[in-house]
Amino acid sequence: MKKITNFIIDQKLIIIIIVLIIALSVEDKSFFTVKSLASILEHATIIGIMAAGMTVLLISGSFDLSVGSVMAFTGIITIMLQKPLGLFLSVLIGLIAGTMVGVINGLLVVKGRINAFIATLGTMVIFKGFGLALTGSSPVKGTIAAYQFIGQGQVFGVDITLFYLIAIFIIVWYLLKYTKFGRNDYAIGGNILSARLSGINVNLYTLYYFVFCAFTAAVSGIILSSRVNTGNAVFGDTTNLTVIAAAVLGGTSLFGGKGGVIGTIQGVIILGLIERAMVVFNVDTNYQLLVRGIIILFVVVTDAVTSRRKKLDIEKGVMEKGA
Amino acid sequence: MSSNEYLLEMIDISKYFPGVQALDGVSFKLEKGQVFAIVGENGAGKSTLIKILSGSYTNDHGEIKIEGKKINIRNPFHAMQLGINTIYQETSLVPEISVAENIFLGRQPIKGGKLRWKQMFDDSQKILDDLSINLNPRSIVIDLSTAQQQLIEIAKAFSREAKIIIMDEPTSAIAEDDTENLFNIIRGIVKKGTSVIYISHRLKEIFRIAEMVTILRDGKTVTTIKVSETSEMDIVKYMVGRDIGDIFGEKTYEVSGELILEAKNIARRGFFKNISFNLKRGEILGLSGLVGAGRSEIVRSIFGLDKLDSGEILVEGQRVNIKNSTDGINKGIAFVSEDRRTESIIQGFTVRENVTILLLKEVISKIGLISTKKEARLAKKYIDEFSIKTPSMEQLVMNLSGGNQQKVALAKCLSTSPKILILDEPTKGIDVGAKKEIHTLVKELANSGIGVIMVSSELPEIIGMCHRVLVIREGKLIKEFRKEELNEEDLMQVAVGNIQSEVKNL
Amino acid sequence: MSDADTTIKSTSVKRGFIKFFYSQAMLFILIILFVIMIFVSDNFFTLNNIYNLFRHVAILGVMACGMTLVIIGKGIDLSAAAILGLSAVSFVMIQQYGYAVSVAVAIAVGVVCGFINGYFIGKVKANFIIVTLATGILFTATSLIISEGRNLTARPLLVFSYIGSSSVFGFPVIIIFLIIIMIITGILLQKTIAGRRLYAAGLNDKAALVSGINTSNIIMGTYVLNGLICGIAAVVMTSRIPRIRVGQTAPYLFDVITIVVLGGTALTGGMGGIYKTAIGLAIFGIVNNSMAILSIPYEYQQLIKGIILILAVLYDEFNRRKRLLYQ
Repeated sequence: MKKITNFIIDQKLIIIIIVLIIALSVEDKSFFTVKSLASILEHATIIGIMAAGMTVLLISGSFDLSVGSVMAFTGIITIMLQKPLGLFLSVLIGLIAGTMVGVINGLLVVKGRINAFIATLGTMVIFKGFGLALTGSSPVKGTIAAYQFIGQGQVFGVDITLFYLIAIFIIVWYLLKYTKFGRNDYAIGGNILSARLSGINVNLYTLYYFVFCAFTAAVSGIILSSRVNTGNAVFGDTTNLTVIAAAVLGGTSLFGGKGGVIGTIQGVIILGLIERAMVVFNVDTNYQLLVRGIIILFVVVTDAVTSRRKKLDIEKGVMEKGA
Repeated sequence: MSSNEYLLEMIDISKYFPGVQALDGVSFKLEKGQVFAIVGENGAGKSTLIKILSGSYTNDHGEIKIEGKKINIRNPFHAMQLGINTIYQETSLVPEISVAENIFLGRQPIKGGKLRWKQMFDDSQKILDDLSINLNPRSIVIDLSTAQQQLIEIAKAFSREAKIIIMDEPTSAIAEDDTENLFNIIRGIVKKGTSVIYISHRLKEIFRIAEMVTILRDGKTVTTIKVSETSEMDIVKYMVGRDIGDIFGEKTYEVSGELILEAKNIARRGFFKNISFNLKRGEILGLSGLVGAGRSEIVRSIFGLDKLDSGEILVEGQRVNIKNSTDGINKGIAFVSEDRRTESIIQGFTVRENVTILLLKEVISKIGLISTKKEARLAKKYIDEFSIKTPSMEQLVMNLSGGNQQKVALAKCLSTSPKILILDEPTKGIDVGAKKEIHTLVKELANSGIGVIMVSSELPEIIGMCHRVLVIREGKLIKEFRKEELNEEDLMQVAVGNIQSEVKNL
Repeated sequence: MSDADTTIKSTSVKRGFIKFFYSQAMLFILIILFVIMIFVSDNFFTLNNIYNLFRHVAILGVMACGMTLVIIGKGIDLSAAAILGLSAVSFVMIQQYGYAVSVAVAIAVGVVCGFINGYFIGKVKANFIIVTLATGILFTATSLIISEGRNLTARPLLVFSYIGSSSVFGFPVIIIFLIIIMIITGILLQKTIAGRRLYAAGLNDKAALVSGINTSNIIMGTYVLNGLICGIAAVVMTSRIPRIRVGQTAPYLFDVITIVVLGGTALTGGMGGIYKTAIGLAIFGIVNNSMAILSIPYEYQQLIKGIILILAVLYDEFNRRKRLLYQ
């Protein structure tokens, strides 16, 4: 009996997903098809890709509030550079620009010793402002038709974005499981002292994780702006919290040291299903926001209460020398 | 033996901290494949010695040689590279990943850009088997017991080809069966040529596992001898033998019979049990024993910082239910914590703010606001009364010397005119002059009718100050000493377990 | 007096000066900014402009007082703007039932929101950043639900519109209101037992516990008070400009945090105060005002404000180490 209960607890996310799908199918007979299930994933791509990057950063014990702004900013840069530079270059520079924000975040935290919250709060506002300034507070329209394929194209009858999502998740899964990049992530988030002592360059890798998180946000930014063929500074205002919630719901702790993309994708799917459910059940848009807020609060409080370890202070990695 | 045949030589090592000479010319030699024990009471210098070896401190004086070569250990990472691995009581493992990965932390087998998990598991299984450690390399560390985690640390150190593994009180957190297991593994490592420096208070264990032992006292080496050529009793004699002299002056005055505090069978799971004692008005009661015996936990529970699982506490004959520190203070108990820096004074506050924090009700004006004048007057009163040396009351406490910080802590606690004063290691790390002042202060307080409980690891202090002493070992009350019976050697013998006499009821 | 003594004496005087300089750094910056602006624009140093400057930031200043309390307790309230919004919406929607009732409700709403924050952060001890982010969404969502997304117009309450819009001998009453709130919170922090305990809890909660201070109650209290202040601010704000739309208060949050951090109250808790926040407010006000005078477009204003925040935090970190060095 105990074995069964433990199994249920371990697989709780899958169970929630199954329950949600059943509930939705009951309410809306046309729901239970591969196509509509795939569409959930398609819509969740933007959040999903960012959640993958955020998962990496969360595991190391930090977090990033600026991802929404990075997403918008990247889209703006890319669209605005389309006319002068053409498709390929504009996308490249857009990605670089967004990823740069991650470099800034990382440097502020690692070198400037500012805590992640203030640093990313600051960059969030700065790049939102940057975006507003560049666009003159009004959305900019894309000028190259081919660009729209990135976000709207269909391959084998399925949205291309689904492939992006799957690709990113596979990449991050591989990184986390099989590379130094990923394994050091768990070490740093799990016991920063131990990581230092084992020769891991904590500062450098923390920087990497901030950069990676911003990179995934930049990718999302390209996809989003391509989908609507617009660059707009207001994109991403609310995505932040949803991204973090998806990751924490999936088992990545805010305290660092544990988690993974398998959990995160489940978190993304659950949030996507809940969104769809609220539409199907005709929930008022305002109540949808309320539900989202409650879910996030619930997820975070549960994480705090059930986390078996509290976050180690980054200063604890300092050794006494010649006291 | 020529220099080259020793694995490690510590030659005339000295280390000075402001106010105290932690190590004074300590020397010993460690051979390859040897278990070498270091013993000494608290403050003898053991932890400073380890910190120097593990790279956290630098010695002021003296030489360290590894395999005949003189070296300077720059930092903990350097120490590891030199082959010196230290295993502390607080685990330095990454909790949410596997045993195997912890062993190979920072040097996981990555070939062609891909981490070879199977290889890592197999390699770590080999290491574990080699050392006869019965663990599954795939287990997640946080799921394992402390004893098992310790073994992982040994495996980790060994796999890094450690020449020396330093173990600091390794058995304090593990059970008896695990201890034997640990010793078998240590014996296995040692046979392969790694040496172990073993620090412990548990003399019985030293006789089970160590070949050589060096005894430290007051920062100096008393002697280094073969374990087979000595006995537990002798070691204790070495640990404490000193000329106490009469540093404590007059200590006899009559104590009234009135009971101010009674503890009846108090227990806290995992820390202490069956503790019963009483405290009389004007009495100074000492709690002696080894570090980790549970003394701090006992007094903290009485004050209310931790919860008791069972038992009763009576203050002035009345049963009290103390759930938190506010209750403790309200019932007339004052507590000066062992951890001065983070617990007994508020670092960022000024002297004035610290001293008055418990007494703010006294300095408010009619409308309920703090009156600067009244507060300053109150602060001045206490600063004078306790002879706190500070350029001004607006000085931040963190800039004061340890002794003066402790006086601030005392002044703060006593501002509420408590009935019972609990002191946990009150003069740890304080210079001689301030020590004397604090002792005089405490005696005056007791004289004025306050009941004092003093936890201390400094035997001369306990003997010089207390009317009665309770010896605690492993969470149990072992023996009570009256003033006339007090001497260092007996106290230590009971503390380490050479003399057994569990007190049934007092 | 020997040479050694005189050298020691002069070094300690120099030390004292340097220490003073670093601890009052923001005040100096304020003065420098002020002087620069006088030279840059003729319009700056007029009574009218100075009044305008403070009028615009008055509500932010009031909110900054509440935020200062929370930050000293080593926390932050990211839902403050949402509380402001929800209180304002409640205020307007209840007005049909009577003026006094609507004011009471608005303030009560603020207190309840603050209590929700305080409970999860003070008692449950969850992460204050994510909790207040989440409650921010909750409160905003509630505002949307209640107001059904409409723009609302308030009926200005006589007393409060007096506070909001009029002047006494030419001196805007809203500034007096701001000053009063600052004085009250300042007194609360410096001169009450609770205030002293808050500093203790923010500096070192372990030691505070040993000193018998109930830290979870104190922390909870800061969030409740912040909620209360936001509620009051909502009433005054809506009386001043009677139109309210959900979401318009969102940018205030960042500004309020910037003000507090600019002033020198560190996010690490346990230090700072209303005096510092007042300086931060003045600096922010001047920057805001200058950008308006110099006709800098809105988008660049946001950018500049973000950069200022980062610089302020970096500077504060640098400052703290220097100050410790010269102790």
